[in-house]
Amino acid sequence: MEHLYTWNYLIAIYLFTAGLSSGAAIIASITDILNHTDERIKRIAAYLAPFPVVLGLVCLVADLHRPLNFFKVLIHYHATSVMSWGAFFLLVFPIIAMVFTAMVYFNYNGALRKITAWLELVLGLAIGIYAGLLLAAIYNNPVWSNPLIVFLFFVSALSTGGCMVIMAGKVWDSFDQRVLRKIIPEKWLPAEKSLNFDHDNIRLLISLDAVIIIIELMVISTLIISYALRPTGEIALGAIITGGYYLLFWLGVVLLGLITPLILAILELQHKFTDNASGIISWVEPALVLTGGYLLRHVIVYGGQLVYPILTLYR
Amino acid sequence: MAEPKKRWGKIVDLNKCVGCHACSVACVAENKVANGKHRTKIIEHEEGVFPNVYRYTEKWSCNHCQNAPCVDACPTKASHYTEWGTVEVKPELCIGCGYCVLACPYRVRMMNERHDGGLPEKCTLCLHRLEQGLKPACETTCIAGAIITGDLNDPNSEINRWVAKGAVERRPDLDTHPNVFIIPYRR
Repeated sequence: MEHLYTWNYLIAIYLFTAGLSSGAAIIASITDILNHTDERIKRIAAYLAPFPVVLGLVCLVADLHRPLNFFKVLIHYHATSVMSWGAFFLLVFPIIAMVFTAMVYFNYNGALRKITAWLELVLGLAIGIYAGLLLAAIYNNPVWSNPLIVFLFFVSALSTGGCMVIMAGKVWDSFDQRVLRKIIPEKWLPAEKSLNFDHDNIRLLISLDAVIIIIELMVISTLIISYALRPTGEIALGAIITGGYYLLFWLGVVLLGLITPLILAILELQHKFTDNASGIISWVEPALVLTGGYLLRHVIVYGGQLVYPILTLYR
Repeated sequence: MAEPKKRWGKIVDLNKCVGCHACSVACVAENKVANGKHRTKIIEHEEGVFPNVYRYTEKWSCNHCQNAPCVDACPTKASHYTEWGTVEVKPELCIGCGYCVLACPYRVRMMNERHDGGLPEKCTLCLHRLEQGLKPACETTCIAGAIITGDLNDPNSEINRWVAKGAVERRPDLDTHPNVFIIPYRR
């Protein structure tokens, strides 16, 4: 079949980065709204939230076949098009997230802080849901047109967003603060130690992550059952579960990206590792979740396009 | 008194189609379609259970739905209905996102490469020829006379006599209400 793939890995990268931003924004805004006393998770999540999706937007524009026209999607709206709604949210989200980042950075605590936090929460939910809805809205595609795709991508967004926060905290910790202070002027840096994760922060995030991974596994099982129960189920299963991209799905997404980090997280929470090993595990576990999160989008984007030639044979 | 509005439609008789690909080639020549792309193509069906198997060919191109998923999906309204009921793309609005290609349940669109303009390539029902009173390129070249184009709103047109012969919509379950019909293959 000629020109099977209309969308490529750039779309998968966008879906992944939108999930990262969505997860980080939800974590940052919820901890802020609830006045969580621990500043570290909130700060790292708030600082990171705007940036992954901006990278994703660059990928989206790079994927367009008429990239110079990209601004037309921001000035011409179409109410029946999911992509048009998404373009609006993707225009507003980075702006609000940047404002919120600045508020957290400069310790602004005025009246607008609460409003911005709520806006960030709503927009974070919106871009997290939009990522799945973009695919689920294509109602003729047996793989994509399933409401559980929206749920799966959203749960995965929370999980990968949380892991990005863990990773960023670890990266920040691993910098030599004295060297950093020589390169960057003192007044630009957040207060000493304010971003350093301690053991309890990581344990909190990892235990949350374990719960989300269990939910994600449940959603994937439900998705497979939901495929199987539909008249077009054979096609959908053949594209990602039993054929097509099944190796990447079972080995990459399920085994590497969900089951392994779940086992590591449970063992870590039961103190089964020495301190030394536990330090490495808290790198490996989020890295695996992030890899699995990308592979999930990759499998769904490519697997969903495998089914098109079969559809033309339907009466 | 203004003439009643035209609703252009097309019917393909699968009993006459021999799968010679002449329509496909004529369309490429008429519309200067980019290298490797086709607005209309032939797909082959193999149906039945052994020993009662049969195969037939079908001309496959845009169905010009009246309730088109591609028009609904387009974020900029570049894909739109023309006043004659066909579906077309406005180049000045199209961003080349490929969403219409994926939304089309008939898989009749495909994206042109960036150096070829990057627009989704699709059948226009040869509107530029219809406006001059000519027939579309595929119809003029069809060796079997399997294609007919005409005004569905005109009860006396040839196409409405073909409708009476038992023309059906493709995938009626999708509620797309195409202006392009087929007369199904009968053994």
